Amino acid sequence: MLKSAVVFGTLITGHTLFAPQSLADDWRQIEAQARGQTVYFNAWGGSDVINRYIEWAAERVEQESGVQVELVKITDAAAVVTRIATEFEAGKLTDGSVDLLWVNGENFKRLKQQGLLADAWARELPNAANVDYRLPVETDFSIATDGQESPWGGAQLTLIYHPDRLESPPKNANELLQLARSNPGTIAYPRVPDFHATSFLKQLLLELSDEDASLYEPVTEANFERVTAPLWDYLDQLHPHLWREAKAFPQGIAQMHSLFADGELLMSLSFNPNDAANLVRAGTLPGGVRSFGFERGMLGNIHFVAIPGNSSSQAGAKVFANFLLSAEAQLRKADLDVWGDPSVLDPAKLPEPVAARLLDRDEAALPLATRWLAEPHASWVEPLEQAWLARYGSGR
Amino acid sequence: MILKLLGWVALLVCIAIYAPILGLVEPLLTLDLPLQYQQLFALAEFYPALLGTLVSTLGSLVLALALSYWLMGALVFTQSYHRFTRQLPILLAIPHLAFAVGLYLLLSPKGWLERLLYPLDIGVWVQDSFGLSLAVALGIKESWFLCWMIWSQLQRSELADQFLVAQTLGYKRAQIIRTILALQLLPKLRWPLVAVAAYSLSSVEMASILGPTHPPTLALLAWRWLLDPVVEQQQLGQALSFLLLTMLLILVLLIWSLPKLMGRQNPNGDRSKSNRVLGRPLLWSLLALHLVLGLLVLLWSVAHSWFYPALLPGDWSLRAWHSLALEPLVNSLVLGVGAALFAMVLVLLVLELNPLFTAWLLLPLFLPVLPVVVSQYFSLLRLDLAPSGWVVLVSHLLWVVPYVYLVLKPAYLGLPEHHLLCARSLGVRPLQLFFRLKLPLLLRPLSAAFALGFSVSLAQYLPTVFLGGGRIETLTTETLTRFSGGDKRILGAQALLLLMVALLVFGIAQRLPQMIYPNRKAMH
Repeated sequence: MLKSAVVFGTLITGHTLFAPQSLADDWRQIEAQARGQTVYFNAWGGSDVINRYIEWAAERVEQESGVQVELVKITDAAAVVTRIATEFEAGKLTDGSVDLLWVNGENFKRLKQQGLLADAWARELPNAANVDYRLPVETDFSIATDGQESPWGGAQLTLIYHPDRLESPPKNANELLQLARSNPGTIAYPRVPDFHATSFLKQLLLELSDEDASLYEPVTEANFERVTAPLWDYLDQLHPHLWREAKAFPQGIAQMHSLFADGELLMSLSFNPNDAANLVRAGTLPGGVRSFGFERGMLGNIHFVAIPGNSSSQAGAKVFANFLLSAEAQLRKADLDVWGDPSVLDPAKLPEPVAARLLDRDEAALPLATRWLAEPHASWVEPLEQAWLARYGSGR
Repeated sequence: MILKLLGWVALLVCIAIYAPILGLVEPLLTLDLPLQYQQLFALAEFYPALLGTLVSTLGSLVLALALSYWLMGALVFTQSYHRFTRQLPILLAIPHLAFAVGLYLLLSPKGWLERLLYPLDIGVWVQDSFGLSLAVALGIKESWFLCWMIWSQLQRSELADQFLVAQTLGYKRAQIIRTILALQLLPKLRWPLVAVAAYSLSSVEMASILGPTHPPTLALLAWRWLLDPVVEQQQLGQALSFLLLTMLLILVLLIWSLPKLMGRQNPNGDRSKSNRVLGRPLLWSLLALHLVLGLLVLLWSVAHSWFYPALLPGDWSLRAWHSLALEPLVNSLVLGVGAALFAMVLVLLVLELNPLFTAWLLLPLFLPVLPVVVSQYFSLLRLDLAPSGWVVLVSHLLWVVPYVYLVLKPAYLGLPEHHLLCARSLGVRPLQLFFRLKLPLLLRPLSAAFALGFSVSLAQYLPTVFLGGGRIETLTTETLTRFSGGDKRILGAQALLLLMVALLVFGIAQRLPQMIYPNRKAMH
């Protein structure tokens, strides 16, 4: 069944693109080159389920295409961007230490702007034909991807609560503030510049600025002052009621989950709509938890894989990226017992049973109907984090 | 002849391994330091981070010193003294990281202590903003090291005799510690104290688990900036790690003037009535703490779900153990054994060449790790080397060699001269002398050096991450990755594995002399 879906997808590609024959030939050539190559795939390695999934994919692609994928578990993608940049500076234009990188947003912007990425390739992948192009897969934080990264999964900011302890979850930022006031010390968000913390700030900013259009353009000083003023106002009111009066922040969502599970916090936070369901299965969260989003919608984005320009295993990296987009790999990724990361494929382009499985959601997960709020332009991240650190970074 | 030649080679290899230290002065040449410091001092994060760093560093120094004086003073020449000092190396062999993970599980919000005190609803926590919990953790961990240093001083100086004399004169322990031990030991403990200060000042592993988070300590800030893709941030990180070096220099001055600051207190003839130093209760409570930490790590590793306020896991599972990868274990073993053996060969050859003028080998112990690793990393880039296991092994040697040297040098100098003379006059050639006489005689210090070298390599975090490009996973790097992943069960399993490997290798090394010479008691 799955095989036929892939073949079906490939057929569509063959018919819709203008130079089908040469493209298929090109791909065959890439596959031939890829055989025997070793691909160092740098990906955040803090999650066991993700590591296991990647190892599964690595095994499958080795069987199928003879590409050996080595997972390099990293703690911070920004550090890898730095490493790649340093390699280019030191004149290392081939044999770079990274062949494929799990990336999006700010880090992609840096890689792209400094010219550290391999040229447009994402649309050449046969499986790219099945991608849902209604999702923001061709812009990454308002920056055109230009085929320099291939979509891997979708993500949406998700709030987690337990109906036994919180009857009606807040519907917007203002209700969140009320909740914090009436239950001091039970609401928290991680410390900036943690990725989830910054995302939470952006979520608040989008709501409090009424989705100001300038958030989707490169940041300017005047715009920044104007658009963020209500955010600081809000945080000034919120912070005294936060966990430990905002004199300390959880180090990341892992600690938030643990505090939430132990009843210290009323809510937790995730960027994976299925996370609550996953964490219950893993025993990290107690049964019965549910996910929710604000009325206006929740911040959503796509995460990608990109190939640095100095990789010498680019063909192998493409073959692996293509496999990651296959219906087989995407379905398995979306499986709650495996990882539970939403797919980027368009169910309409896939046969019925596959499509149905893609549309299925667990009751603990974020409702599928939650509106997507697009990520602000990537240039907002840095000033937003700096301003937060300048205001609240001292902890006093 | 061939030994001399190899000695020269070993010396050159050591110089190559140590060369990156010279890079520490590089920021002076390449950075506009006044400008960088101006920016640094203007940051809201800087001052609280400085406070947290000072509190944790000074606090750990004071606590480690106080605990070790107290313990050693209370136990010396008692029945438990011999047993305690024999078991000390085991406490030393416990990896810092495993200890930190245990404390985290005990003291984190809604952790085990809070569960134990559940009815009282008392919030206890690590990661306090002043760095107090980090200071306590470092203080306890480093106190074993200082105890060991004090023990070796008591072994070889006349202090032990003075202690006995004072005791026969009727002075009580507390008095003797205050008037005789404290002041005379201090000058001898200067270098160990500098090593403790250097470690506390730039510890990234312990600080990221137990240290303040908002903002973190200076070492963690510097580390974060150094990894930032923005060049200005990297320069700020370099400037900050240079500042850490400067802070260490100030601490060195402080440690040197400590004996003067304390002032002299002579025995004045009064014999105090009370003889209670409470050494044994202190020792037992510290040992009990270690036991509790070990049990907690074990319990978490086999728990499935374990929520507040349950004192024991609700249900059990071996999932965490199944999820552990084999690769970090193998890498740690290969790196540790490789680095320890290589360092032993280097140190022995250098000592054989010329045992004098080798004290510079100790230098890395007294330098903060972070700036040195940055300098190693730049050297790697200049040599255009790709990150690999070999590079990581060589980077570990910078810390393994000094510890191995620390153990082997006194042993080498203490080789019984008359045996050697005798052999030489019987016509034994140098090479034979080395292999047939010196090596067997050095067996016990050699196995101690191996154990120490292995545990030092096992504990390396920054060099492994920086110079391995993240590709070389060891038990230590994996434990910190697991910490960021936040699953306490897997964290527990990982930390326990780290602890077991450290203790196992240590145990084997300790028994090695007995195994090789079962019928030669003096060799054990």
